[in-house]
Amino acid sequence: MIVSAILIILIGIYLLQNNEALTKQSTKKVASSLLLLLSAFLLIVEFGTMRGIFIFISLVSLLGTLFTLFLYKLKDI
Amino acid sequence: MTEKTENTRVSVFTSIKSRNIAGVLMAFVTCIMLIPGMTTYLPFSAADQIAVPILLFPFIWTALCVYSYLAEKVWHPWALMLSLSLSHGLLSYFALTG
Amino acid sequence: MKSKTIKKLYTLHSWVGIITGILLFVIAFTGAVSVFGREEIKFWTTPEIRALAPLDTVKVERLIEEYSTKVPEHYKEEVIVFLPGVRSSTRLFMMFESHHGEPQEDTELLEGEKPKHNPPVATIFEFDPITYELVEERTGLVEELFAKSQYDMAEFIVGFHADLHMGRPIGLLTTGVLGLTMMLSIVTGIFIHRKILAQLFTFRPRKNYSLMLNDGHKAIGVWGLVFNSVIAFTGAFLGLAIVVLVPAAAFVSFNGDQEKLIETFTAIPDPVIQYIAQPTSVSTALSHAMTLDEEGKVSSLTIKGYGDASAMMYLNVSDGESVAAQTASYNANGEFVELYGNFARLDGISGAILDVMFPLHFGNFGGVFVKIIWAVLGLGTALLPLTGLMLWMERGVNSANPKYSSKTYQRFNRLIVGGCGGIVVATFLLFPANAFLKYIMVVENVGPAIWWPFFGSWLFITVWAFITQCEKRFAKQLTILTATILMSILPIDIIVSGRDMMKSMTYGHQVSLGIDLVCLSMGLYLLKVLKQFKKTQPNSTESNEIGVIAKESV
Repeated sequence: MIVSAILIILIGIYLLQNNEALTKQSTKKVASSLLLLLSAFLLIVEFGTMRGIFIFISLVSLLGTLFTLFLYKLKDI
Repeated sequence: MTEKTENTRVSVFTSIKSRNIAGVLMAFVTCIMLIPGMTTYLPFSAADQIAVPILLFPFIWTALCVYSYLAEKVWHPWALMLSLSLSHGLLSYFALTG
Repeated sequence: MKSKTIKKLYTLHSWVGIITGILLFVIAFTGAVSVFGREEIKFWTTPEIRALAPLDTVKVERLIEEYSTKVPEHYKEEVIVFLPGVRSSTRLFMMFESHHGEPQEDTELLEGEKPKHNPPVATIFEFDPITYELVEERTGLVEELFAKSQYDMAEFIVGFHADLHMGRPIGLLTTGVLGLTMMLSIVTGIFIHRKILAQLFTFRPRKNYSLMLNDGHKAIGVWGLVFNSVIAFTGAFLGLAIVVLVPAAAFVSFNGDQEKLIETFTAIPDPVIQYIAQPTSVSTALSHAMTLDEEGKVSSLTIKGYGDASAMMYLNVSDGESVAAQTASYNANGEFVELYGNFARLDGISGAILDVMFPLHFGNFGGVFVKIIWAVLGLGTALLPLTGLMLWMERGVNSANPKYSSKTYQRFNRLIVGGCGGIVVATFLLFPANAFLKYIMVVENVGPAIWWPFFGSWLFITVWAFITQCEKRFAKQLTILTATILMSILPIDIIVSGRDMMKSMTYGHQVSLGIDLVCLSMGLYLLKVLKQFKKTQPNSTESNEIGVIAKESV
């Protein structure tokens, strides 16, 4: 479940970006929000409400940072 | 020989020394004075009356520090902090002396 | 917001960063490592506790019973037991303590005079975690007993992060104030970064060096905003609480009696002694507590009124399903009474907030998984002031009208290389140093001895950074040195515990192997980054900087 949550967060973050900036498309924003909510739900189920929320926020921070810092390498692929 | 160029920079802050003392030192002193003073009037349970001021300390210090530097006139933050310190100091004094 | 206000906030943000940046890097970096201080690094330094059998609760009860007869009656006021292999304990630790010290002679008190108490005294027994045989016994003042307690690099790095080993009040004040300045940097940073969401994914490392630093600083700052805010707030609180906040709060409410305030918030109430002798069912309580929470670990046990029918037992359960550590209470028969957070039993909302302060700061509420997240985010927190400093220097050096001379920027650059590079080397050097002191020099108490390699290497590197001809070459040499030290950690662990590690992959062994492999990977990655950096440097202004320095020296 943790792995699924991490993958869903990554997809959600990926959808939020467009050409190294925050996307302006509302459909992508909504889809991203729903995915992030889903991953938050999965983490709450796995860890409990308080722990799940704290872990969700920290995972979004971590994965968002890593995604942004390594995005330029993805473009090479 | 190297030519010396004059530094024509103008500071964004007026009365910088005063603001430094206000923002760093006076803000800290004010927050320390606020903690016991706040315990005398906060409408919370006994434990919260003590713990809430302690928890608010970092936020109040940050706010006072930023205000010390952003205020148009340097005497504004000094006036605010001195009045806060004095008022809460008096509250503490009256609470102790009954 | 007016541009003048933005300019003021930017200036304030810069000043705070310049003044506190290096120290903030030091605290944040050592903080990221000390997330694993209890107990992962402890497993690494103490192979003996990696494969402990499940605790023999009956044996523990019998030991308490046996050794309670060897101490004076008043020493049974409080019995504290730390279980081995949990948090920092490597042995079964048992302490019989008298809070009121040795009995005073009966003297008449004058009007208004409070009865005098001697300082708390105790007898400590330490038992081998495998054989349960007595290893050490000592008696004395509680303060002195703990001052001489054994520790190693695990406690050292946690202690350094907490107060820079400068003790109370200076050390705690320093780290606490640093938390406050970090909050200030965050607040000012939010306001000056106007395109905060639009540039959420902007990172252009290939354009030029300055842009790489700028984008990197913003990316780490924005994505880590919530985490860094929590760290800054909890860090300020934990640093300032004992030294400033509690004394201030106690001033009115408890007439300045801080100990009374702390007692009100944290103390376990003393039971009313019935003077009815009854064995205390420690084994029953321990066995039950270990099943209370699937993920939780029982780290300690406190018994009040041992041997009396009114005895109460309080077991600390950490790393469980709750964010905060919990206390499970049991009566003399070993029957479960209740489970609660340490501050949650107080009225109001502040109890719940106080309970989560420590877990939120150290990330010790969800096992190794959460600790890894906290450690990586902590490294981001460390990189934030570092990238900010480098950006400030880059802009200053290349400015048409620099505020300071290029020599000043160069000296500051050397300070950054020495101070920041030095702490990284000194921290990872703790691993081989700990092993060397423990197994080669066979030092009884590694902790005090480890000060020398840590502070010595840090000081040497900082001084050398000022002496060396080219600090950039020195920075690269430090990177190679760090990588070498990191790659040495796995071989050291294999030499120390190799055969045991292969015999059984217990949790302790898995954790230690995890540390070894992570360090090895980091070492290899550093070498790879260094190689790539040499090959493909972005359009750097370093040559400009050297050019300017060369010009001025003519």
